[in-house]
Amino acid sequence: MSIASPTSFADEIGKFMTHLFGLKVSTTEIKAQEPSHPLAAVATYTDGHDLIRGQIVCDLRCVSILGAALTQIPMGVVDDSLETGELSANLRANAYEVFNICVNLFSYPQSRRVVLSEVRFEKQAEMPTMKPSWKSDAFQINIERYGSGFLRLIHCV
Amino acid sequence: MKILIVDDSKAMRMIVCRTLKQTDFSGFTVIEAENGIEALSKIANESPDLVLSDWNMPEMKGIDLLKRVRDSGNRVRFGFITSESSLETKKLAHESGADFLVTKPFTPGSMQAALDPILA
Repeated sequence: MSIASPTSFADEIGKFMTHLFGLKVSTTEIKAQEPSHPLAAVATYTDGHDLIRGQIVCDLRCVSILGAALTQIPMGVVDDSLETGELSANLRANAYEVFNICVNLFSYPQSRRVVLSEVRFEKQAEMPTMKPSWKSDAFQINIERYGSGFLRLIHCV
Repeated sequence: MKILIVDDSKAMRMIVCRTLKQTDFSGFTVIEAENGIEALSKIANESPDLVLSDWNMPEMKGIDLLKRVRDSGNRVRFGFITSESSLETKKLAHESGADFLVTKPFTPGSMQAALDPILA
């Protein structure tokens, strides 16, 4: 997967997630810096050692619907998470799988290996500190039947 | 036709199974294993016709499972379903005796395309 332009990359993410969930997913690039819900998950991708290659940051709503859509968990479970601020165990496990598969959103030249290094699920996660060379795009992810959430994708190049 | 799905994630085993049902293939039964050790046991005892394995799993990686299977002389058809998509991964899978590798996220179409030459 290549990054031709931010607009087409949004489309690629939408297509990627449509394939992943088997549900219609649309993705819109947004300029807003702040999500409407607290940040709840930070996935970090490395080169297999310690060099960070990318990060995905999601608000609570986004990580909840990503987890739910993977195995089509009822929306009520998402609502419970939003109400309590805590992801249920199955939403968390599913979200981890989604982040694992999203490694392919960071496929630079194919010889450079990128792996999911860790996912931090926190009630009030903090946005990673950006380095000057890093590139960040924010998206509104809208999943059929589940609604939308905020996702920021950081390319650490 | 018996298909063994090997993945430490219950969610992914469910998705692979669901996707198989969305292909044109029919008349297969699915058995599951959540790690390489369990998979070796099921391959020995239940003789699946096809193994679909994840690459990254705790205890035994998919590639080590494949090597153990091939070292034992078993030629069961074996494919990887993985988020690993590097050229090195594909080369290693092929050299170790894998029949194909499907990259996540997959669709019924991409699954069908991978399985067509194997199951035809």
